[in-house]
Formats: sequence, C-alpha cells, structure tokens
Amino acid sequence: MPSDLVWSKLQELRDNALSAIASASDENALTTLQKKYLGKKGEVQAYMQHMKELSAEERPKLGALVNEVRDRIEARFAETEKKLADARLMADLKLRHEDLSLPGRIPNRGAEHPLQETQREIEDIFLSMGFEIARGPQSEWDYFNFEALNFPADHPARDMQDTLMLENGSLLRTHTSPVQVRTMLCYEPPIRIIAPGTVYRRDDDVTHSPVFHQIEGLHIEKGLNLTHLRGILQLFAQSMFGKDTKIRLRPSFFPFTEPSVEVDIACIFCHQKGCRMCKGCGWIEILGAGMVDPNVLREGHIDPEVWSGWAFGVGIERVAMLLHGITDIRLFFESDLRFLSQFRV
Amino acid sequence: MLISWKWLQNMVETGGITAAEAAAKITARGLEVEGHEPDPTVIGDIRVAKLIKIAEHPNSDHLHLVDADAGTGELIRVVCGAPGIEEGWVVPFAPIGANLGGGFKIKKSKLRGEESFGMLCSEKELGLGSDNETLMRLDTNAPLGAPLADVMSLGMPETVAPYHTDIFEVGLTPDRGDCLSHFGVARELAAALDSKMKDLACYDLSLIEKEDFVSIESAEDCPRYMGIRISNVKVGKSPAWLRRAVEACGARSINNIVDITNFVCFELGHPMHAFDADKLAAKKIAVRRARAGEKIYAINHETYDLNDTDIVITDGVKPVAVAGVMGGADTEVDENTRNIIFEIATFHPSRVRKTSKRLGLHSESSHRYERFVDACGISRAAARALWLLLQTTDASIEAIDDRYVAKNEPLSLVLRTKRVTDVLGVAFTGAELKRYLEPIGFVSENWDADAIALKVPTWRSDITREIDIIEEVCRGYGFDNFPANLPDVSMKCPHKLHAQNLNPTKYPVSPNLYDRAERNRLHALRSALIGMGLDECMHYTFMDPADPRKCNFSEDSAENHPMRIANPMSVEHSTMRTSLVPSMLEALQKNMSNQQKSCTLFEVGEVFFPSTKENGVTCLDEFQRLCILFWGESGKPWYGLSRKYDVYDLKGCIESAMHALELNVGIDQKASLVPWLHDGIQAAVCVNGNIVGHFGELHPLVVKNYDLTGPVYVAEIDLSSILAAHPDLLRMSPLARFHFSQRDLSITVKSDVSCRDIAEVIEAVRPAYLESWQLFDVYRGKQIREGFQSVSMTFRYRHPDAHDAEKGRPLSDEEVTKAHQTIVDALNARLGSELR
Repeated sequence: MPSDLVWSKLQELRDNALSAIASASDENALTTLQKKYLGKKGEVQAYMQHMKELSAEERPKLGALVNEVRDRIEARFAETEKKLADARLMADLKLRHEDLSLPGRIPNRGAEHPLQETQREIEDIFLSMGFEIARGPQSEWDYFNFEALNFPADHPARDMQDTLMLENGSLLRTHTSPVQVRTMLCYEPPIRIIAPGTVYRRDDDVTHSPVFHQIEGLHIEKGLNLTHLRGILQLFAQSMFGKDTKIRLRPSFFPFTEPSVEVDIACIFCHQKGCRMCKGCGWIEILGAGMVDPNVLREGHIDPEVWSGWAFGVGIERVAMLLHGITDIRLFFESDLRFLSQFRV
Repeated sequence: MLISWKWLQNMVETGGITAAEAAAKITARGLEVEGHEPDPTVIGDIRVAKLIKIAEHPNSDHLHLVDADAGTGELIRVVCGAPGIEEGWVVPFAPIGANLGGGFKIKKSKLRGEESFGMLCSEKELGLGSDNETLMRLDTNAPLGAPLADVMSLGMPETVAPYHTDIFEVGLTPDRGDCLSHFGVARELAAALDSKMKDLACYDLSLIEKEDFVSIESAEDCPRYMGIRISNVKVGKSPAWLRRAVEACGARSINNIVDITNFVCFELGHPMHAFDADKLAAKKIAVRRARAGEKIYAINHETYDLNDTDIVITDGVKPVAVAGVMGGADTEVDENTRNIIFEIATFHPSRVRKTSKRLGLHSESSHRYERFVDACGISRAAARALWLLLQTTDASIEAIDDRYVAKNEPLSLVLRTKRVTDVLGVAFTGAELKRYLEPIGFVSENWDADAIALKVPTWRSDITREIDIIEEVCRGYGFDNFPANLPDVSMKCPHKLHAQNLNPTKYPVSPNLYDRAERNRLHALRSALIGMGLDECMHYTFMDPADPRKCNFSEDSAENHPMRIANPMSVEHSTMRTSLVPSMLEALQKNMSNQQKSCTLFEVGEVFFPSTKENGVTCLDEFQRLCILFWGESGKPWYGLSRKYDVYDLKGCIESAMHALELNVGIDQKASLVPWLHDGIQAAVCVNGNIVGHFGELHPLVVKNYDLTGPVYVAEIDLSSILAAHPDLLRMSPLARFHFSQRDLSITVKSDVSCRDIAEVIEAVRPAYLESWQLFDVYRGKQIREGFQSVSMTFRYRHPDAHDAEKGRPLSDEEVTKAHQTIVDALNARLGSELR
C-alpha cells in the first residue's frame, strides 16, 4: 500500500476515533472504544502490520504517523475520561444533602458560678492596678474582727454585724476587714492588697444570707488622701460597669475608717432616668470605703502621721445580683440547675 | 427611725424646699433617708363644714341625714354613718368631685333611697391619723368652707405640728446618737441649708420649787437625774395633735402622760419616764445597782431577774424601773393616776446596752441611751415636756430635783489645717473650716493660719479626735465634691515582711499573700471542669450535725468531729462542714425533685477541722477541697443514644482536670476503703504517692439516707498539694521520621484480671520497639466463657531512634512480630490468657 493511501486511511481512522470518543456517553462506552482503537488487537495497532510491507525508508515515516495518531487518540481519551469523571462528581453532588437546621454536636457546656465570675472580674481589675491578693481565716478572733478595727467593746456598732460564735471562743468573721489587720502585722508599709473571702452574719432573708462573700481592699502609702480613694474606686467602677460610669460619695460610718463613705454608681440600667433598680433615685449603692482610721493604723504599728491609707469592702453577692438581675440571694447557694444552667456560656 | 417632714419644718426654717429635696440634703449629710412615704393625706379638696341639722335615716338604724353648712350659702344634704355626731360640730367635708386618693372620688350617690351630696370624714379617711371612731372634730372657730389645710393648726398648741405628712425613714449609723430625734435631724438640715433653728415653746424651770427626793449611788452609772413632781394631773386620751405625733413616729398612743414622754423622746432625743407618784413606796427616787435576787415586773407584763450589773431606779425600797430600758408595771401611770414624777436622766451607755441585751429588751429608750444621750440637753427636754403637759391637762408642778453629778464638759481639740489637706487632698482656709464647723455646734476658741482650737459640742460623743473633726469638714464641704485623683505610686508594692513578730495575740498570724501561680492553677482547674460540662456550685459552709451519720462517715474520723457554732440560727446550720459531700448530695436531691434528668456539678470550697496548737489554743484549720458529682444520663441527641453516666465518666473527669494542671494523678483501687463509697466501686486519688482524695459510686446506704435514686458518682479531693505543685515545664520531643507498625491483640482472660494487671505485665517485659499501647475493648457476655472476659488492645511499634535519620530506620515485619510475640507470651504465661 502506498504511503499516501496509508496516511489518508490513518487520518480517517483518527477522525472516526476522535469523534467516537468525544461522543462516548459513559465510562463503559469509553472502555470499549479504548479496546477498539488502542488495544493490542486494536485498529491503530493493526497498521503496524503494514510495516513489513514498507521500504526501509518508509518504515520510520509510517511509525511516526501511527504514533502521532495514537497520541492524539490517547489525549482525547484522557480528556473525555476527565470530563466524564467530573460530570459524575457533579451528578453525585446532587444526590447528597444534609439538613443543617438540625442541632450541632455541641460538647457539654458548664457554668462558672456567678459569684466566682464576679469575684474573678473584681480581682482582675485590682490585680491590674498592682494590688496583691491576701487571705485570712474564716474563723477569726474578736481582736482581729472587732477590737483592732476600732470597734469598742459593748458598742452598738457591733450590732451592725450580728455575729456567729464558735465553740472554741472564736467567731465566724463578719467581714473581710480582719485581713487588713493580719496584713499590717505581717508586712511593712506600703501595702496594696485585696482580700476576697467568705463572711458570716446571723441574718437570713431575700437579700441577706448567713454566708456571703466580700472583697476587701487596703492601700497604704505615703501621701494618700480621699481624692485617691475616689480616683481608684472610679477607675474600678468604670472597669466593672462601663467606661462612662460615674460614682458618688456619701458620708457613712464604719469604726475602722474615718472619714467613711458609701460609694454609689450612677444607675447602669436607666442612666439616671429613674427605675426600679435604683428605686428612682438614679444611684445604686455599691460599696463602703473610707480613709483608714488612725487607731487601726496604730494597731498595725504604722504611724498615721507618716503613712495614710484607704480601704474598701464590696459585697460580691450584691454586685452579682445587680449585674445579672438576681432577686433572691439564696439562689446562689441552692445549686438549682434551673438557675446555674442560665450562666453557661 | 421615722422622721416627719412637718415636724422638721416646725423646728427649722426650710424656705421653699420640698420634702424630697430635704430628704436628699439629709442623706448628703450622712443621715440616709432610706424610705420616704410621700404625703399619705388627701386633704387638698377637703373643706370645713358645720353640722346644722341631724335627722334619722328612715330606712336605716345607723345612718343619719345631715344638713351641713360648708359656706356655700345653702345647706348640703349628706348621708352619714358616723356614730355619736352632734349638731354644731365642725368637721371636714369632701364635696362632690373631691379626690380621696386611691382613685376614690366623691360622687352624688343614693344610700338606702336617700340622696347624698358629699362625705363627712374621719381622721383615718383623710390619712391624718388612726382615729376612725367618728368624724374628725375641728376648731369651732374655723371659717366654714375654708380649705382644711388652712385651719388644721387652729386651736392647736404653738410650735407643735397639728398633723404629719411625708414620713422619712432615716437609717442612722450607730455613731450618731445625737441625731436620734427630730431636733438632731433638724440641726443637720439647718447646717445643710445654712438656716436657723426655730425656738420651741417651753416651761420655765426656774419657777419650780426645789426639793430633795432624788439620790444617785454612782456618778458613772447615772451622770444626771432630774425628777419633777407634779400633782393633780388628769390622765386621759391624748389630744389629736399629740396622738398623731407619736403615731407618726411609729408608737402607739397610750394616754396623755405617756404620749408626752414619747413626744419629747422623738422630738429632742431624750428618753423620759413617768411614775405614778402615789405608787412609789418611799415617795422618792434612788438610782443604784440592782441587788442579786431582785426582780422587776415590767410594763410589758414580764418579770425579769436583775443582777448587780443592772442600774435600776428604786422608790427607796424596790426597783421600779430598769434604768434606761423599761419601767415597772407596778408604778405605771394609768387612768386613776393623779400625781406623777417625771424622770429625765442619762445613764452609762454600755451598762444600759448590757442590761438590754441580757434581758432581751430593746426599747426606744435603750436604743438612745446605748448610743449616748447628752446630759446637757436635759433641762430643755424637761422644760418642753412640762409645757406640753400643760397643753393636755391642768396640773401643779410641785417640785424639781436636778442631780447633775458628772458634768458633760465640752472637749477641746486642735485642728491643723495642713492635716486636713493631707487627709482630704483639698486645701481649706481657716475661715472655710469655721464655716463648716460652727453651724453644727463647734465653738472656735482661737485660730491662726496653721490650726484652730475648737470646743466640741457636748452632744457629739462620736467626736474625740482631730480625724473626727476632719470628717465633719467633709460633711460641710460635701463628700461628693471631692475630685478624683490617681496616686503617684510605684508599679509593684514590695510587701516586705516585718523583721520582728508584731502579733499581740496568742493566735497564729502568718504571711497571707496569695501565690499568683496557685491562683492561676485553681482557675485552670475550675475552667477545665466547666469546659467538661460541669456546673459550678457553692454551698453554705455549714453542716447539719446529722450529716456525718447520713454520709456513713466512720465514727472516729475527723469528719465526724466538726466545730460547733455556739449560737446557730438553726440545727441544720449548727456545725462547720467537714466535707463537701453532704451539701452536694442535698443539691442533687433538690434537683432530682425538680425533674432534672442529669446532674453534673462541682464545688471548690473549704472544710474545717478543729486543731489544738502548741500554746493550747484551739483553732479551726481550713482545707480547700474539690467535690465532683455525676448522676443521671446524658440527654438523647438526635444522632445517637442517651447514655447513663458511670464511674468512668467521673474517673475520666478527674484525670482530665488534673491533666489541665499538668499533673499525673495515680488511681489506686487497692488503698483502704472509705465507708461513704461503694466497697467494690471506689478508688483513691494519689499525688506523688500520697492519697489526696477518693472517688467512686456512692454507698447505697448513703443513697437511701439522702432520698436519692442511684447510682450516684462522687469524688472529694483535697486541693492543697495539687494547687501547690510546680509541674516541670513541658518540653517537646523530636518528631519521628519513620512510620510506625500497628498490631492488634485480643485475649481471653479471667474476669478478675484488671487492666492494671495487664499493664503491669506489659510494662515488665516492655520491648524496646514498643512505642505505645492502648486498650480499646473489654467484653464479657455470651460469646465468652463464664468467668472470663475478652480484652482487646492495639500496639504501636517504632524504632526508638525514629526521630534520627542516621540512627533510626523502619522496622522489618520480623522485628515487629518478634516484639509483639514477647508481649503475647508474657500475658499468656503470667495471666493465663489465651488468644481469641
């Protein structure tokens, strides 16, 4: 067979094959066509049979032609194969669907106790101001709880804090203030501490619990005055309740501070328009504070003419109740999951 | 303390300020107005009317037809049910349209067929007082038709408020005994308003004849006692102004004499007492200590045993009053009394307090004496009382005996202006300081640029030092006017320990700064538990004494010997807890009855154990513990099954929590048993070989004692060593360069062989190529012989130097098989296991 003829037949084979492959409807048809054209006994291979009929110089030419055709067909195969595979993938995609409105698999979530959360937040604010945390025992002695804090014996000031007594003659501390005394007896001034802890009073109703929690603060340096008390407590109030929170100082009485103040914050709920939370007055009482009484400093072996200090005490329950709108203090201690679970975050 | 705004207005020039403004001023002075009952009266629309003609109602046996003249030029017909009314009475009249408060408006109405054009009112109906017996009577000279408010003071004594509105509830701090009266509050208000006090009408005491009938045993007990003997008094119902005044202050009206003593107490802060002079055995007054065995039958009809710490008033023979606390019933003034002795005195504050506490008697009188009553104010109180008395009855003031044995002299103090600036951070001039101090009674004796010498008012027992005066400066300047400044301090406070022991007591004081690392570890632990889905709880630190038995704690354990509270509020709260478990179980019980299906809780808190120190002092030591509880089942999710919590949930939770602290805890099931947990399902938790706690299934008896539905899983762990531990820093290992080979193994072994037994065997023969292994299934059941279990494990083998490209290499199949076989052989040989 003359080479021209071979060449045109090859071209015809090539064109038939390419169009057949391109129009293969699925991968099975493609496999059949692959066998037909490129198999060991396939049509392309069949031309190689003619090789021996050719002259020595024509052989390589035919070989090259056959290879070229084979390459074209193989390329078309690969191309079509990919196209079919992609089409199948796209078809499969339509078959799968998940209802994503079903609940996700959420790992169990627990709740930090709201009192612990509040305590941690208050602590963190003062820690950031360079205060250290100090601790003291819950069973205290009259000296630390009252006497050293300038409570005269048999004075009605003691009635402000109805006391639970223990059998060994000690008492359950009625406030965290004894930690002030303990700290002054241990460390030289300057002193900058906060003291969180459990305290006790003989009291039980919706807003008073026999067991509750306070954070005490004591700051003794040279040159501290009432404006510093205001400055630091304002910073605290702004960190705790929002950066625009205003505070107000009112005169009060605590035996261990002089002058003594109650600190109110501008109502965070109504912005001083008057609401139920602030009883219409626009202010909410938040903590007690004052300049440390000279008698207390002297009890701590600190010269009140050289050093001065201020102190505060804040009720953790009170702050938590305020922040979370909790109306009954007893809920904190009853471990009712209907209550606790509301604080899961 | 209840304070009437009308009463205050009677004592101080208040200008045009409203009650609410006054309340704010008083609060700003440190006398906190905690409650303000706005004007409960509804007298705005009420007019004066005279009863002209009264006729029977034809259809009623108690209603009357009244024709009243309200100054309108014609008579108004009103149907009235008040008893005992008479023609000629002048009374309050609410015409049609009048608002009586609470949405009640007077309308034309028909009562049993008779038309009524308004309402004639009682005192109570107008909110003016408690009297509701019949119509309120007004002065007969009151102009008919005039607004009621304009005529209320007609016929009333001068300088006495005829009625009271806007009652303030003032919460006084215990240092301010001087403010326990309208006078005291008025003085602060006057200072706040820069205003003057008004004069009160008083009787002239110098007119009274002096006579000796009072004696005082101890000037310390009783610095001053004034007795005033009065004869021919008429005891009876108090006039309206007096009754309304004492009622406004929360007292009950008794009779004119008793009411006057209360009136003076509320007005001037001086407690008073009135004796029936004819009932005094020796017709005299002797103040002394009670003698052992003496008793008094008090006006509250209780009998009290007295002792020599009590000050008593005697009639020369027996106690007739407990000084400053309560009078005796035998000498009480009653309707037959003709002659009286008024007592106006002061007594030692803390003695009155001790007696009042011991007898459990708290009175208006003891409340004031405990907080200090100024002996200098007695004359004014007496003069006022006598004047008031004569407004209610004819009487002859017979004699006075004023024993003033220990003078209350004003204290002299020096106020340094620089000191004021140092404490307050604001500089004041001497003139400014005087302006704040003089209106509240300070007298400046002399002053220069540096200091002022001051005399403290005698009624201010709370001011004994310079710093106390500085507080008064704050009040004067206004606490809220101080600016906010931040101190200029170093970032870190050194908190250097004192070189010597300064503790003046025999009780331990130790360095008490909280280690930051320990705090961080506690937070990490709590966060881990919360992250595992447990809810944090906090309980009272008390314990019911029945709890140790209910919890099955052994008799001789420390848990069974709690510290008792001497004055508990209830039995349930009468000891300090020795374990976190009881309150946790109670919490579970409550949640079970609230239909909860599961409960996973933890608490970090203190337990308390008494311990006697070397010096013999018994202290209450505190230990921080962690309690974990698992109960119930996880809710059924849509993608799977619900599952009951079991002991492995609890164990895994503990291990995982400790892992968060980078701590490996040991779980020891061979440690000695605790009686509150199930014998077969409990283990000890160990740190560094020491037992720090226990966990397991709650003992079925305890489950029953707390009325629970089991099984319940509980752990209690002491945190001290756990939080104090300083784990090594985590160091990374180089990553492996060669793959591992994995072999699984299933063996059948006797059921009593524990996972720990298997682990011990594997560890004992551990081949060098074994990198790790894990147990992945335990099966007991039908396909396994009775008494046996199937245990499946997976083993991972790798060259020990796999991270090193030079020394390491992949393991050959033979090497892995050989290593694996070592383990199989050891298990078979030592535990009698067989391959499955």
